[in-house]
Amino acid sequence: MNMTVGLRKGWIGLGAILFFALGACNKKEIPFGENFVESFTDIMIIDTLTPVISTYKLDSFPTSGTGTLLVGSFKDTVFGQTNTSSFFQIGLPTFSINREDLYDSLTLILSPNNEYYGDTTVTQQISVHELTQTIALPTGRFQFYNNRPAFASSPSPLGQRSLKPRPSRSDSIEIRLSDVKGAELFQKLIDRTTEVQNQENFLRYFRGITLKSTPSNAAITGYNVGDTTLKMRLYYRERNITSAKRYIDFPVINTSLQHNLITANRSGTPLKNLPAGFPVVPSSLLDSAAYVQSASGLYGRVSFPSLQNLLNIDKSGRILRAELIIKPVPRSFVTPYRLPAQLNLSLTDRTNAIGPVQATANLFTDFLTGDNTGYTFDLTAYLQNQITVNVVNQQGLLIYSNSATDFSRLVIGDEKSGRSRIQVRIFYLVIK
Amino acid sequence: MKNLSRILSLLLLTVLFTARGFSQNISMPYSIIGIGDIENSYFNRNSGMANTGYAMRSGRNLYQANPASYSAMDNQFFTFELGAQGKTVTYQGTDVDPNENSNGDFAIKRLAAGFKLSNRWGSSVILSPYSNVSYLVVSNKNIIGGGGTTSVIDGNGGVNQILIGNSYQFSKNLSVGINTAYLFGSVKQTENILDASSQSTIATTLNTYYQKFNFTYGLQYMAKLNSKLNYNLGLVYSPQNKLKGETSKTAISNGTEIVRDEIIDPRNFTLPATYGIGMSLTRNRSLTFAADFKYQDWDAVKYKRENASLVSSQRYSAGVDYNKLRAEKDALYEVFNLQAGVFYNNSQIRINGEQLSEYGFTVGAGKPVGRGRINLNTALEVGTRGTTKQNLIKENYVQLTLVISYRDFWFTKGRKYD
Repeated sequence: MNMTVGLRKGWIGLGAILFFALGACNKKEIPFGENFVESFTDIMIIDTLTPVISTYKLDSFPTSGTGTLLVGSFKDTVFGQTNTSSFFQIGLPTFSINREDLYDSLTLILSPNNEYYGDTTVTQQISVHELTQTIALPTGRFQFYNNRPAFASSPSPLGQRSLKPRPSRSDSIEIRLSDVKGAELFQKLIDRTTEVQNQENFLRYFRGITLKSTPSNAAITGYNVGDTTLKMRLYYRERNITSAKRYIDFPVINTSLQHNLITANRSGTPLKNLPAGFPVVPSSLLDSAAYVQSASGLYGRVSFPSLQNLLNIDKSGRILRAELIIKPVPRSFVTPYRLPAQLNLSLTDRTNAIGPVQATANLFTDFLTGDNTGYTFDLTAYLQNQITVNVVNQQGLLIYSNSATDFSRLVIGDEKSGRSRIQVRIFYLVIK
Repeated sequence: MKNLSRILSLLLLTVLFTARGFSQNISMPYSIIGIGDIENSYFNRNSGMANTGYAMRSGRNLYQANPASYSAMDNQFFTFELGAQGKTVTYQGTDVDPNENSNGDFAIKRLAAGFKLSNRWGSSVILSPYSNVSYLVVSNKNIIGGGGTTSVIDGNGGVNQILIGNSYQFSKNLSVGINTAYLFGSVKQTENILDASSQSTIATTLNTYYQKFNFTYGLQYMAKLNSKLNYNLGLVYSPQNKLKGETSKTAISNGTEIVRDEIIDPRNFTLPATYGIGMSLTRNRSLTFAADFKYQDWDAVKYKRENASLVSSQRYSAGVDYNKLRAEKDALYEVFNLQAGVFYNNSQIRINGEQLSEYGFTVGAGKPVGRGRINLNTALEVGTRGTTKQNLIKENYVQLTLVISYRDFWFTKGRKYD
């Protein structure tokens, strides 16, 4: 009996060895039998569905608290004349000066944030005006909109400076201001008058600044809004042997009240008759194109009304992947025009209210031929959902760039345009 | 209790191997054709004799080759047999990756039980494979409208049979038998596409479930040449039979089931008429020589695919079995046995004009243990199939078959052991 037990254990042992030694192997791929495969799967690429595009002009859009001060104007052959001016308040710092100190000068310091729109080779003149009206939000509002009337300012400027925007450089720009105003302010500081005793009194004395520019076709440039980057500076000299030059900075305050006025005059362009708000204007009425410039309130809109035609190929088919490819109209983005670095697609409906972001794409620049410059969005999930919508489908996607101060712009050609247009590319799976 | 513990340990082995066993890890490239590679092995005591067994009869081994053999079982005994096989294959062919050219697996292949119901009537219940499908092919997949990708086609499954065999011995010279088999099993072909351009995975499966009753008839004639020499003749016949294949498809894309078990046109498969003839010659109950010839009329099945067809096949095999016997009281007991065999099979598969042939040799050894209740047999088969001509694949394989049989009294009546 012992022998039997021993042998049985031996068998189990041998079996276990074989089990692990052989069982651990994986089936090898052998190059034979391709002809005998019964495939019932077809993957097809469909790029013949026509996306319908239109342009949506926002009624108004908020321009306050953006962190960017815009000044300048520019005439765009497609988007028209855009004018911007900016409003902000200056605050009172703590200071210590001696009665004997002497006034030197007053300046405004701006630091470019490298945003620009237009022809930077043209000399631009920026003028600084003192506000005669206090910046204040209307009751019940939390933001200023692009189209509100300008706060009043004195017609004669506090200072002016001609300059060529150098968007690639971030050196500060200093604009000399009126010595009359400077000396007056200095004297108030020396005398410690009521105007300079507290912030409230100071704002009643100096209500703020608006920046304007001339002429009207140079460029729009952006400057940072921050208490270290945007300030008024008062220089004075100590009265002693060294006669050292000292200064006091009056920084921007209440940055949420800083706002830009943006107006666009689109007469003489394809967009001249664009109504604001609902409804959108189809590309067929706008030279076969849709127009996107977020900073001036133009959004594109795209929808896919023929999507359900895919079901005619195969009812049980499935969208594996869907890409929306937007290639700008050729030559629409030659210097000085620039394409948005990034575009968003947001869900929208019949009312064109802006919904959650569905897809985002960065600009791809084809430096070789330019043919492939554009944006590619992954719309797989969106179109997989859209193809199931059986009722009259009025959903769509708004196309815009995220920055409210970025004047880069995009012209999207519809199906009547050439190769550079908006196109949807769908990988469709058909089970035969 | 002792018997019980033995049976339990056998069952344990069975469960262990079955868990792994029925999913195969070995590539059988030609199994992409039809219902797969038709199993020519019995996984029993025939394995050491190149599966030569039409004329073989045994008092304690279940020879499945000829259903007429069950009547030879010793009276009042039942037998339980378990057959397992480990196999390694090395592939040769123009495009075979030399670093990825071999694999192997180990699996339980056969479970069998035999009962001697009366002095003339033997019966069996056997579960064994009829065909095996296991392959992996990488194929180019065209994308309509531009480009292409790769698909990996994985085939697996096969047809099994559970059979009830009955054999009746009319006289000391003549025994007849019939195997009533129920063939069943699925053959699956899954196409896996991993498409980078659409960033998607697609798995589509075509699953055919085959089932049909299948009958095999057998006859054995036993006679003496002289006082030392016995000979047997065996005949086997199985008629042409159409397997019903219920086919469904399933498609899964990126984890989502798009099509689930949609029934499509059935894929029936016709089994050919099979004719077998064999003889054996035994000297002093100790040394046996046997030879078989099997003919399958695949021509009549009319199976044709692009560049491939099934054609009538012939299998020749011969083997010897030497039994070392020991006389005790007035009975003869087996001490050990040694076996050898050779075979040549001109198989049914013809591809690119080449009919695939298969040949090889076997050696085997066996020994009873546990006072004769348990018998252990091993057989080693070394063989080759196919050709490297015409871009085909040649398989060189080594397989080890293990057979454990256990037998005991079937009713407690009769002689008491011990």
